[in-house]
Amino acid sequence: MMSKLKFIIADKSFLVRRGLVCTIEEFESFEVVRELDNEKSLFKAIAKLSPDFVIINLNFYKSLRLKEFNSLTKKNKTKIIKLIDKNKDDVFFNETDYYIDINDSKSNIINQIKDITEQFLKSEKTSKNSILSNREKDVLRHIALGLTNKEVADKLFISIHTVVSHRKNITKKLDIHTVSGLTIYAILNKIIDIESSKS
Amino acid sequence: MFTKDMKMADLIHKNYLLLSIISRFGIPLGFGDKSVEEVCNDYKVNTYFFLDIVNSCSYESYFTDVQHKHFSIVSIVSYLRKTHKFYNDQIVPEIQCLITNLYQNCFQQKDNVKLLFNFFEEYKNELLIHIKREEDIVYPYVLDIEKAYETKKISKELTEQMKNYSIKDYLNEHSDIEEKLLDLKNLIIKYLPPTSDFKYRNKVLVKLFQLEKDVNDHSSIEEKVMAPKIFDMENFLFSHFSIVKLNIDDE
Ligand SMILES: [Fe+2]
Ligand SMILES: [Fe+2]
Repeated sequence: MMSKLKFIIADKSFLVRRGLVCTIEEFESFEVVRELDNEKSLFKAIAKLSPDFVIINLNFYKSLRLKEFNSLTKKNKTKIIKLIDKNKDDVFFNETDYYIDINDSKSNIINQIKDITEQFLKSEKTSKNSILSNREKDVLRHIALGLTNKEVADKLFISIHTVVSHRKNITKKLDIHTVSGLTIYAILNKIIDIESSKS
Repeated sequence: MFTKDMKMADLIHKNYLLLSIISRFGIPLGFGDKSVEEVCNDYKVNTYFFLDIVNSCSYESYFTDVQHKHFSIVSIVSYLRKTHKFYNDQIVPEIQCLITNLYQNCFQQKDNVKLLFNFFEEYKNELLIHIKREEDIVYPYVLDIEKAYETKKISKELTEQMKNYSIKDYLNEHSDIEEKLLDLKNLIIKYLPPTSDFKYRNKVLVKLFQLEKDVNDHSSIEEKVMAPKIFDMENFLFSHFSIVKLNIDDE
């Protein structure tokens, strides 16, 4: 059995924390190891528990001594997911940043978490496994039907960056590099049917 | 590495893929025990150019290790054109024919083999466009450059052309035409479910491997032999005739 992915959640609001804990623990393989209502004990908690992910309120994050924080998370291989409020926080995101918007719907938040953790797992084990994950099959289906990265991102409620990284993984796993090649693969494996590929 | 004093026959014993390359030089089989140089002289082929080609097709690091320079752009272009002709007239139709045979000989997977046939058609069209651009634009240009370089005379047209297009642009636009071939190989090896036919499926693959290798070698001759020579000649012409290249990025 694989060990569970460990999360720390840091936000001032009790309700937000509870909401996140419930959402995350819906996944059998995830577990929240600590809740924090301030940023002060965060360093200690990371050092002690070495979690896989810290979901942190953006304002907490901004008040941290970043240099120290980054070296600590790097050492513990902890990934940061920023918790934002798109209505209030006026932020520009790097496409490489992970974040969750507290205004998002449940399914969007779940998808977002799925994507983030899937990417993480992939980078963890350099898998020789050439079987596509369900998420990758979703992406492949749309690519095979001729959608652009942007369109796929909109359809699946994920960022373009995530689509691109899925595509890279698909190509690497299958060793197929062109869109028409992927389309044929998708037909051979009944991910799409011939009729829909023509439209 | 192959040298001019080796027996021509030994080259083929070492690397049978050279067969089609030797034919492209217009050299027929039946050369007995003659050396490479003797056979080349018999058929008026530049020995150094011949050696560069057969070595680069046989030893991967050849172009980075050694390289002869004693031959003209005229001979390079003539060889490249013959290679294009080999693709168009010979190996591509052969592969099409083999895929058709595969289609006729399998009972299951017919629809899927049809897909592969169409995929190869797509590839063929890409290749045709690639070849046409080189034959219509690039090769005439490099021949003009060599002529201007040798005669130290330059036409108005060529001056204009050099302002807008140079071999550097060719290198930038020179597209990767192997990707689809790689995909097709994998589709046949890994992803097309088992077929009752073994024979044609294998034959198609062998030909695809051959074409892929040939296209790779051909591209390196264009990029590593032809282009650097032209680059030097262009530089000479730019300064000798004080031509200033228009830089589109500056607009
Ligand atoms: Fe070419
Ligand atoms: Fe080319």
